[in-house]
Amino acid sequence: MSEELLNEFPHVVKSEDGLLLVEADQIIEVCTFLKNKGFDFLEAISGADFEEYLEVIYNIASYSKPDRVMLTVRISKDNPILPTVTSLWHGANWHEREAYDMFGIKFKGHPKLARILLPDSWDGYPLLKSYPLDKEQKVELEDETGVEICQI
Amino acid sequence: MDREYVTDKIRRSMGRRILTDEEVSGWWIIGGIVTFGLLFLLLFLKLIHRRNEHFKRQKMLEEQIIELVGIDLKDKKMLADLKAIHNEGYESGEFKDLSFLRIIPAIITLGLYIEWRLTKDLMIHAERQRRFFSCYLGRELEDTTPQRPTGKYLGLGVVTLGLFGIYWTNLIIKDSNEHFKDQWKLEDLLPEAGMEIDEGVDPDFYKNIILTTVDKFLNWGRTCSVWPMAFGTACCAMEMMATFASRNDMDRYGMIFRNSPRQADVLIVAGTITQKMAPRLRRLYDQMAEPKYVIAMGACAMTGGPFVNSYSVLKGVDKVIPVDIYLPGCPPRPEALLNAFLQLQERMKEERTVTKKFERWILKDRKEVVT
Amino acid sequence: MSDIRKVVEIPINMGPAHPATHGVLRLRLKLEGEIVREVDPVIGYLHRGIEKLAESLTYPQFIPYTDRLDYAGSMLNNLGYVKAVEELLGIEVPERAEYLRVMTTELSRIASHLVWLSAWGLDLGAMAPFFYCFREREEILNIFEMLCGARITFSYMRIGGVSKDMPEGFADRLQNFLDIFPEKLSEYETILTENEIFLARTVGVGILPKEDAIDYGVTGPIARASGLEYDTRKIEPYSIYDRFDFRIPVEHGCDVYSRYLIRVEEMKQSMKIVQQALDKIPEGEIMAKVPKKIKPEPGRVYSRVEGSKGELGFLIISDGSDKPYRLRIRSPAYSNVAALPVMCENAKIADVVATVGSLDICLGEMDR
Repeated sequence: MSEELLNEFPHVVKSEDGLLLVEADQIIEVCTFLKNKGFDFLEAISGADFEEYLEVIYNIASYSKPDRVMLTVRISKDNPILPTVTSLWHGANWHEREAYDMFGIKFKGHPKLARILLPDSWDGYPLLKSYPLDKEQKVELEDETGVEICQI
Repeated sequence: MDREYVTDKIRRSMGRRILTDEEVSGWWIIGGIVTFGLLFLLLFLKLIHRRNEHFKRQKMLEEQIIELVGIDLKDKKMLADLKAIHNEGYESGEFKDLSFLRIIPAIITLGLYIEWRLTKDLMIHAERQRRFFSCYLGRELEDTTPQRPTGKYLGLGVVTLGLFGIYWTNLIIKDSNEHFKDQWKLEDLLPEAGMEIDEGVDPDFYKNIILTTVDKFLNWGRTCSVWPMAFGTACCAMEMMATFASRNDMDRYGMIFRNSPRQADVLIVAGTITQKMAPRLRRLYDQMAEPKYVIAMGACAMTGGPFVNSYSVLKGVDKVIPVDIYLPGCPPRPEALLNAFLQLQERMKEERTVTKKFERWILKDRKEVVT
Repeated sequence: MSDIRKVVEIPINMGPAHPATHGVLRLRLKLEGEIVREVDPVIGYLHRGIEKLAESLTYPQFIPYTDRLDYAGSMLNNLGYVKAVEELLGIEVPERAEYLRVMTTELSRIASHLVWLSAWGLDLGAMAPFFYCFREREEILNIFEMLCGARITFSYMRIGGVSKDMPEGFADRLQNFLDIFPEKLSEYETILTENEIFLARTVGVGILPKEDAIDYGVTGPIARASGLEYDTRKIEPYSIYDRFDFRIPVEHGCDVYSRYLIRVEEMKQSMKIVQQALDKIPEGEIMAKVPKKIKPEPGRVYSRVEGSKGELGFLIISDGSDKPYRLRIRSPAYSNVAALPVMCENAKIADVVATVGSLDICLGEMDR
């Protein structure tokens, strides 16, 4: 499958260690192509923090055959923006929110880009390598009631 | 072990003396004789008297019927049968009004046995304790508990038909009271002296017989129906469910899960509490009615457990709510949770809600007088 | 004239401490009378930062943390993780270890489904299955305890094999369980499958059409109840699953009743697999030759297994050190719950409880 993909999209390159690197602005086109070829199952969208850049990894599989594709998108740390794939899979919604929650990666056109696992008042993005493991956070009772119950 | 921690525990044990070392008044003896003895005497007399009266009436009735049949003299066989039944006599023979007093020797024997054991135990206990504290303090303490010749007393009790037992009971009450006083003095001599009791508690209130009895009654009710709140967040919830399911059935201890905090007595924090969850936990705790207890189940609830290094995990629920029982394990087995509940029941038996409420009320009054 | 019966939308908060949310899931509902107009799941109340912790732990040290992901069936997580690391290292696992792995994971799947059945039964108002299911689950846990000494958190699997061989009397006890379990299973079915009340509460409730299931990346029994014949054990057989005779149950009802049928059938199939594995288990080693210090070459691997809730994936990025550079867990319940708004569209509020229960969520795995 990766051969076909490389032929179709000249900008998709295979790196030395066998990763399929996709440009950020091409990700929707590549995913649409894959979906039409029968890769209809979006397993996960994961972020990863490398020293110079951030990576977004798309694991795409199929409900009917054992093939799998792993796409990698590299984006700069200063401006981590890439288009959302929620228009192709609704299931991407939560995965992208998680990547935003943990790495601060922004997805352009996402219907509701907010924190999902951590409280809204959280400061920083914990899965970045620069985030210290024991950073103290101030947590208060959030939203609706507005009554502060306790602080930790 | 931390020295301070153990000292703290010793002080807590000393503080418990208010609850355990109850001073008993000699008036109990007279009270016992007057209420228990006389009431039962009256009751028994009444019961026996009633029985005898009823039997007498029935006997007369039967005799009259036989007489009537004799006058008619139609059915000879029936007359003979009636006479035969009538002559079978009383149900279990005669029962004179005062014959039940025969039971008194038995009561005297039992009473003398109890008194003998109490006296002997106290003497052995006092002697052993004197040696223990002498050893700890490094100097010989004097023996203050009087030695009683138990054998002689036993003989006297038998000879005087138990009358001596009344005097003996008085001695036991006096000796124990003095022993408690001596020990309190001794405890205050220890280098770790100091009592850890609830703030502002006046020990006098704990001697009040009405308040303590009401408290004990309430505690009995509470310990027999501990209703925990089902608050399982993670792995420990599985073991919590297993504890309440078929094999380790907790219902037999009167423990039934409630899903609303307002109906629950115990909050089992089963599982990891994250910083996002902590305010919710606090709110649930606040919604529970007093008196409430908390069991921190598992390593996560105690300290953060394996996730203690994580950025989002609360390092022990005691940062948010007070905890009564810490239950280690990852996760603890159902048997361990069962044991935690039994320990909690022991803890609940020491609760003095009414006493405290009364005391607060009195103290408030006093303050008003002062100002 | 205005209609006085017109009902305004009422926002209602369900959870995070609610008996029907199986842990700490929170749902923000918008009600119009009794009809649910909007469902917004709020998650993260059990987010323990496992992925970050993994970066500070060596590869074998992370095994106990996998137990605490999906605590209803811990063996499956164990397998998912060690399989990923083995793929990264290129280790061949001995035959006997593979059989032991299959046996324990399938038993774990049964245990997990039993927990689900009991808890869901409680949600629907059936108290009896709770006690029945836990009776059998305790027996499975006893068998596990015999094997590795733990009841819930096993840490049984090792990178390159398993930690302990079968103890004496293990096979007999397992055989005994396999003999009695079908009878017990039919007991549950007598209580539920054709029960009028149960049918009224489940049939046609929480519909998830096939297209939506694909759209949301739903896996596991929920996907199979929506007509998707998708099971990692069949589509990409890992371990030694290609040697066993079993089938993947598929239903086309798309409702919560179909999910119930699927799980009951899965228990039967799992039992069949355990029986075959127990009969065929060979003698031999239980650990492969593994270096003392596990240091994979730089690279990345995405490995998936079929968990009791769906496809459980581990993405590991290695930088050549003894600690994973990045570890990502693809949890099945995360994607499944994302599809909840579709299932609860215009449902009655009581049906929300039935639907959430049918998802078999496990917050430890979902929030990680």
